[in-house]
Amino acid sequence: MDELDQLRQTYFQDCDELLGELESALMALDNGRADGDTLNDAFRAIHSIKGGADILHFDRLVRFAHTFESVLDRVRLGRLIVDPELASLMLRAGDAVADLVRAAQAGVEMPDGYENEIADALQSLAQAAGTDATIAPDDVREPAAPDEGAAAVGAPLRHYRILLSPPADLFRQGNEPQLLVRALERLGSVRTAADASALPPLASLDAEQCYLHWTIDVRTTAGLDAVRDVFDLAVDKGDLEVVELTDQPTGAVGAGTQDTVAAAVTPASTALPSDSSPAASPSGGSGQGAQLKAAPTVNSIRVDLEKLDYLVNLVGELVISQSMLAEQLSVLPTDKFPALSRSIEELTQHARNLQDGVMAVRTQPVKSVFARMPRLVRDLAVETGKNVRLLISGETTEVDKTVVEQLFDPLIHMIRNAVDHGIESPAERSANGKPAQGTVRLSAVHVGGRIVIQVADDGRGIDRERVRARAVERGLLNADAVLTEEQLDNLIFLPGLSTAATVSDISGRGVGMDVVRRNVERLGGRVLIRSVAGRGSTFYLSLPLTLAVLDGMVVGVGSETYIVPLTVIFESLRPQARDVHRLVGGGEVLYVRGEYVPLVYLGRTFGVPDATREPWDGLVMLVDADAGGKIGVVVDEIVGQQQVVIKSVEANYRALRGIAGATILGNGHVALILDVAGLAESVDGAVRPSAAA
Amino acid sequence: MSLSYATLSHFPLRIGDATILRGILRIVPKGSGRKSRTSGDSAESRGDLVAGDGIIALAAVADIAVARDVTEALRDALDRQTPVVIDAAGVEELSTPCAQALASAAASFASANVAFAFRQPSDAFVAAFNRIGLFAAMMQWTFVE
Repeated sequence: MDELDQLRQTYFQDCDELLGELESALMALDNGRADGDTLNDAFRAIHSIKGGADILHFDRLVRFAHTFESVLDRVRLGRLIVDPELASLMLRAGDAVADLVRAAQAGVEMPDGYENEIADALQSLAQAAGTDATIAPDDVREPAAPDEGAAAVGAPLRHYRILLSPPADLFRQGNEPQLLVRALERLGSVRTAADASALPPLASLDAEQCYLHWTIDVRTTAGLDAVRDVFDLAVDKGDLEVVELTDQPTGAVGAGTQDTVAAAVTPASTALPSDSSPAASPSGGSGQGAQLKAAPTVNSIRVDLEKLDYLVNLVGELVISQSMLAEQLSVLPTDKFPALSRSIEELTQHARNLQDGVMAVRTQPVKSVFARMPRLVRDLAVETGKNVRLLISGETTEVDKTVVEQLFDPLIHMIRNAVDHGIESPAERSANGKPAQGTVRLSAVHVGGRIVIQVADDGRGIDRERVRARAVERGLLNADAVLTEEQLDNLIFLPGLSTAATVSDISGRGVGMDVVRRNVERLGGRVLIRSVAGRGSTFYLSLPLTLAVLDGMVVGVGSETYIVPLTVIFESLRPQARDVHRLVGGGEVLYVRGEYVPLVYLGRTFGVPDATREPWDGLVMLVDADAGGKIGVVVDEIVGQQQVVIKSVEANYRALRGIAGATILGNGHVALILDVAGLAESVDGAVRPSAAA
Repeated sequence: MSLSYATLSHFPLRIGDATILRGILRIVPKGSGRKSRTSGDSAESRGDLVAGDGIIALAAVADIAVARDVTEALRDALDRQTPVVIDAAGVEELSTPCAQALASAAASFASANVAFAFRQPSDAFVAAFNRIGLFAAMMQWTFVE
């Protein structure tokens, strides 16, 4: 990857966050909950997007963002009042910015004139709001010209001093300080002085290392944020100090001609490595400048995900090695090697802590996904003519980045479902004595080792008779089948079932909820529904916090070993022969406390020759196969509980039904991790008999 | 752009001095192994870092790869106490790593009392030093016609 590619990659990563922030801020504006901070957030986001685009020459994006920014600035200055129409326009403008960013990322062009209508509307507003705001109207549809940009025409001239102490690997990261200076030049006049006192002699120079520190004076009408934003992409906050000077600078880079600047940087400071003269940066400046000399602290760093995954993988290998060591130790008499035994125990603990620590680095709050839902609900409400509000809680709950990424689609489906199917029209709600405005609640919480996400609506609840009728009509259910309410509710997860009266773009094609269930189960999660007629439905999404490790029960079947995810196990028991019943047409069920549970023989399913033939000779593990379903897995013995590192079978071989992955055990053998939901499908398809007669 | 501020007085030798030119010619002779090694894939493939006829000509796009090559070439020249002229006429973009390497070289050559000069710096070359904040330092260097 060359330097420019690296810069592009960083920019688009930043854009992901900035677009999220922009949308959150715009939604707050739309809801009338905006304050000064919200406006500043929106302005800052769009300004940062524009700044990076400018450096990377995404001119079309720069032009549009510039236009958008000018309107936001007028709102910020109180020259424009946010009414529903403007809020809506700004949301559309936010979408257009997102589209232009994605197009730039994909290296494609949006159709000609794609953004013109919105840009024209924004420009009209900006012009109507006065010509003396941040950006001159004539400039609105043009690329940012030097010495203009975000600088406010007519605003007082400010003097900022920037102390830039970049890391030694600045150049290796693909950063070029001249681009930053160029971006600053768009804000106003710039004077730069480099401190070259750390520059070594040629003999010991590493050409790729940065030895220079800079003091940059900027005179501009733009705000402090606009100046800081220039550095957002390239420099960690800790490497940068920006202050506004109230007095005239007396140091090296004061206002003046180029000659003044030239005179200020002494030759001694520039190069001679043997010279111990002080830095060329302003030394006689104000006390404020002197205070800035304090060492900056770095609070965060950006780490490539690949490096992190490599680390996670290594820790996984370490855990496996540690398990092997512990296994070897178990055959030694502990009384003869007490110190070794203690050391191994400590190693086990440290390995576990290390693993937890590394996994924690990968976690992210679900906010990035939740923040996109208010917009979805708003658009759905407009489209369906319903009055809906979305309440969000627990958005700071953290979960593995991979899980966060996979949450988006299921959540969209569930929220669409809640608004389209669940929430009634305002008239219907009023007729039923409910408030005209429906409520959808989205929340996240940690429960045990999992994250549980709830999507609850106060709508009409699942119409079970209609679901049943539709399932029978589609041939998905026998007309005389006896199902519990829970089982009826779960029918909505069947492929091809939709009870929406009309198929819309929103939902009702019957391709949503089954996809939700499949995706969630693929992640080792479960979906549950609780619905009360007339009062609403709640979907529970339970997902593991990480996809890299798993707490499992190690079970033996013949000479083979399998791992059953701990979270799906209800109980294990040795049944009596009289409780096992054969079904007509094949299959067996186990009678447990008034309930018939289908049995799955692991030995038969996977063709293990020396496995136990009868359940009463081995054990039955009652496991939760999917929402509301329970099956009994017949195994020979339970070996023990263990945290295992998940290795993908699909990536290394191919997807196998009933197998979620593989792991390496302490004895070096490979054990397959069961996909219980997949096993259940091998019993009898989607609907199983389980209610006692 | 004319650079009338060339301070030849600091330069112990004069252009036209046959000894110097022969010395310069020895820096990176045409077709030497050095060219392919120091030019590397990036520079040589662009044909920009042409180090022939004894004068180091900076590439049009003097990026970090060029900085590496120039550093190595100058280091060798300094080891041999060989005077150097940097031809900056064709520079369209000068990276900060490159400017930094030249600044270090200028100081090191001066300390070793070995001649080091620049020839025909382009506007982009000068503008880059200004932007980087090394303009004043550059003005102390020797420029030759």
